[in-house]
Amino acid sequence: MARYYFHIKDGADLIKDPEGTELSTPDDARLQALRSARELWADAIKSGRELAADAVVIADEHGRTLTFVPMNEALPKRTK
Amino acid sequence: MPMLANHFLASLSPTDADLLRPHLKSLTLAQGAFIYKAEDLIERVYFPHTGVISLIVGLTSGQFVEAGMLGRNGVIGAGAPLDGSIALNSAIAQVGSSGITVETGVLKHLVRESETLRISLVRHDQIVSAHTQQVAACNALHELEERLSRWLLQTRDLLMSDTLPLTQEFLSQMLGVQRSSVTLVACKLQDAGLIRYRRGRIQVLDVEGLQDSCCECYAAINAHFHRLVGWSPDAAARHAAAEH
Repeated sequence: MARYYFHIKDGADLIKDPEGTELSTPDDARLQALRSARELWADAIKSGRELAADAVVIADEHGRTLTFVPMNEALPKRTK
Repeated sequence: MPMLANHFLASLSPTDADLLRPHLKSLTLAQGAFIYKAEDLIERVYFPHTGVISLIVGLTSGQFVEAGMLGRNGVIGAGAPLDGSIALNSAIAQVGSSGITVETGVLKHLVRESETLRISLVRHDQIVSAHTQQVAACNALHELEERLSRWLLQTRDLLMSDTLPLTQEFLSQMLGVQRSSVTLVACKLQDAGLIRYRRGRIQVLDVEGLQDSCCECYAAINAHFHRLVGWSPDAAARHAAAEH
């Protein structure tokens, strides 16, 4: 198990995940980021708001960025 | 055994309080402790003095979502002595809690002796139903920002404190959303000056602001409590202030 942090990048801003989540593998962390991106899209579309995020950034407990999931990656193919 | 800190116990007639008094035992629950799980036989009824108890619905995926919350305003397992002793869902201490319990079997016996005691329990069973029905509507139709605001206000009322010892992970589980959604909304509420968030701790800074940002469900749930069992958060806070 390792602690992963899911920050939200919005233009020049980074909304930091203050807590992190314990997950087994980096793949689990990626899946978690993808789920988050899907839900952020869903909420924005449902409420008719612009999406205030470009990507979900995955960091480790030392603050190092491991990877990021661009918001577009969470969209179904037909919408791209 | 102090009975005034729980609204149900404090509202009993002197006769009913005397009936119950010899059977009361104190209980302390750590954060995350279950009072009962779905399908359990509810062996004891719990009257919290402090803390917050979440009524949660678990799914086969391992996910669970909160259907309602109770604290010093209510009774956990009120239906058990009324012949509903198998738990329909689970009850967990979302914030560590202390209070009083009585065995279900004893209470079952006592409600046969006292019609007024039975009616009090029925009302407290009804309030759970009214509360969870409102939460169902809220979860289906209201935005996370409104729901989170309602949730923070309810928790604050039960704890009677502006400092809420809650993690975002727990919040996201209770509200049935991804944690990033909570991160985003908590950040928005913080930017608006309504709350301050630190790891594992939320500070409520602007109660009126949170009331403006929450949906009608906060007031609706409080109205149910007032009508059915005569509890309201403002009166409870005034009462507590008078005690000190």
